[in-house]
Amino acid sequence: MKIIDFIRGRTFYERKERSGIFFVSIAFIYFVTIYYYPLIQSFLFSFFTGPSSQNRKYVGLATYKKVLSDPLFLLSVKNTFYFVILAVPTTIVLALIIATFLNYVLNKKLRDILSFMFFSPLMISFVAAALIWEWIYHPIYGLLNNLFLFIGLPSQGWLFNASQAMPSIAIMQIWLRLGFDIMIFLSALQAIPGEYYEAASIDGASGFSCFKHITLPLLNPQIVFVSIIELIFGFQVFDLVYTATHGGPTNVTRVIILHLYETAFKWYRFGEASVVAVFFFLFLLSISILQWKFRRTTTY
Amino acid sequence: MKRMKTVLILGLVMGMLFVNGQSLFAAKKNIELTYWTSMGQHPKFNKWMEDLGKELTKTYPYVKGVKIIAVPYEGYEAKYLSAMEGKVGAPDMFNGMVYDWAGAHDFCDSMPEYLVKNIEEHTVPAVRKLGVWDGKMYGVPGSTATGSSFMMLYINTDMLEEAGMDPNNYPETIDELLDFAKKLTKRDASGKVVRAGYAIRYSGNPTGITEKFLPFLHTFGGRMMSPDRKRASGYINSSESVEALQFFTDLVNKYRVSSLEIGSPAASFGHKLAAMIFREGWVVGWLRDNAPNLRYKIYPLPTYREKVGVGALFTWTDLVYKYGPNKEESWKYLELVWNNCLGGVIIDGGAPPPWKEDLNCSYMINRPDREATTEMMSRASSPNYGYIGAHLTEVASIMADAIGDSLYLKKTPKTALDEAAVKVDALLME
Repeated sequence: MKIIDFIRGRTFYERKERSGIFFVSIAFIYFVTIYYYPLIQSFLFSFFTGPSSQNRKYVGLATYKKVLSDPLFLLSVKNTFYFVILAVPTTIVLALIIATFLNYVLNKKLRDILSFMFFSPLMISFVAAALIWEWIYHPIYGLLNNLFLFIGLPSQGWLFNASQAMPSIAIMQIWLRLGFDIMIFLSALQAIPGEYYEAASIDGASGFSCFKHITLPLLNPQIVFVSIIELIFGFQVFDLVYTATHGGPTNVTRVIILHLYETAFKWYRFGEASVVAVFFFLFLLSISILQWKFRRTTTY
Repeated sequence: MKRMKTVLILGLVMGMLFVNGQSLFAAKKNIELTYWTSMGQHPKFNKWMEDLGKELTKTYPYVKGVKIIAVPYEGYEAKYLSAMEGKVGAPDMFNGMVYDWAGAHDFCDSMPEYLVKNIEEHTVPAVRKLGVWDGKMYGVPGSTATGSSFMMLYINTDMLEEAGMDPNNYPETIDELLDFAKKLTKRDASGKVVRAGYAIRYSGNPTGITEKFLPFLHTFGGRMMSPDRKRASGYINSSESVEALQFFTDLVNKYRVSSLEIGSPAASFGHKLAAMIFREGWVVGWLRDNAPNLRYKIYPLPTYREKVGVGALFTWTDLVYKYGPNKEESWKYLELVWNNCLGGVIIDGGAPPPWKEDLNCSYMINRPDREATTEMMSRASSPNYGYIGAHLTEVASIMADAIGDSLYLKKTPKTALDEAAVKVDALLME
């Protein structure tokens, strides 16, 4: 009752301001408890060592020094970048190509069915997807190798092969994320007025010219948005790797979040895991800021 | 004003009495104990555990039963730790490793004396000390303890017959194992192994990779560290350890009787993609449920230099949460499980029981691993590494890296183990 009285206020502006504060406070409490409190805790833990709160010791910056010189952490950073390079540009380019083609499909029903087909992988959990792909990739009874043998190609090791494991994981990620990006691009493509293309074709512009000079510039905000989202998802890859390879073989698919998880929950080194978390947070934050600035300066 | 104060003070006193009364005088009623297990592969046994919980009502009328919650094995540590550290939603009992939950975290209640005595009197020597940490008994070597505490050799007898071999014969030495594996391996036209003579563990959880390598390491005379667990150099990279890893690597790359593309040993054995594997006794129950038509026999582990006996990387026991409100009832329940298993009711768990008296019960007599289990238990125990606390998982991960580097020919066994020695030494010094 008192909350309602508070929101009511005496004047119109008071009411508007107070109801605003009330609604924002719900989100504020949510973010503080679910995101910021653990974030601050992580930051604080990074100066301590010990397996749990019962036996924690303050060590200052020693853990930061240790983590930064840990070859396994550095390898996980390298692997994560490799994964992002493989998965992110491919997902965006493929999504753009497929969305462009879907945009040409004039039959709405068919377009919806095709869009749903691309989007549906996103509705299943990453763990379930990884299990499905484990079967597809199995070197002996997997679908993919049987298909390869059928068309006369040699079978592959996929997830069990040190050089193929990361590209195989990247394919899983592309399959999962493609639908989301297609939806974003498709809705943006459909919002571009047809008159632009008509005018361009009257002036003799080719299809590729239209794409380059009309479609791409007008899709810029969506491309930047999708890039940010995909980069963040890419750097955060965990479920797929954890379920499909556990970071193997020989640590070639060991990514940052897997390293963080094992450091914290397998080896109970919460201080070191917190340092990794702090670095990772700062890294993602800087990417987001850079891309946000880039978006502000380059969008049309 | 004075009257107001009196009323307030009286109210406060009444309130405090009421609150304290809840814990001091009010009896517990309608409680359900919780038991968390990461052994989701034993649904029938878990159901039996839940049914047995109803028996507890006879001793504690206010206990309506025990809820068995199977926490997925993958990442169970994180879930256990979050609940126990937060003290919210933590289980009354759980299965786990004593070095983790009593050693690294101090989340375990020490066992009442009467149960300690019982365990010392009745359990097979192989599992008697599994629940001990720092000289104190915390864990009941329960349902899966024996089934998880050592590996044996599983052979597909159909494949033996198919290869023209005696289905009652088995390899007693490592050299014979290799000989069997060579005869049982199948390759396709390109020479690729499509059925492993012997399937090795090379993927998945790193600790599992190490665990399945230990029988080789130990029979070759190698060790992961010194007996006092203070030094790895000279042990993990000893000539015997290097020889063991070299042989393990050769199974894939020189003799080509194993493959890095065949999948995990238990699954490949169940899928008939492997003729021989090393696995624990609980796999009998798993194969019964998942590959009922598989014809196989189980034998003691073959020997190279030293006979490998009981001993595994992990020491699973049933534990009671130190900060739980129902510790007394929980211990009674574990005792109930323990006593009922004496009658051989453990059948559906798929694992051999940890009780001496049960080794001759009808359940054990009918099991395919009875003789192998008896022989394995009669051998001297293998090194137990389960007493180095939280570092064991990390040591096992380092070892798994060395095994992987050698199997995938990234490093020689010597280089891989020398590097592992440096890392484990640093850990043991912490």
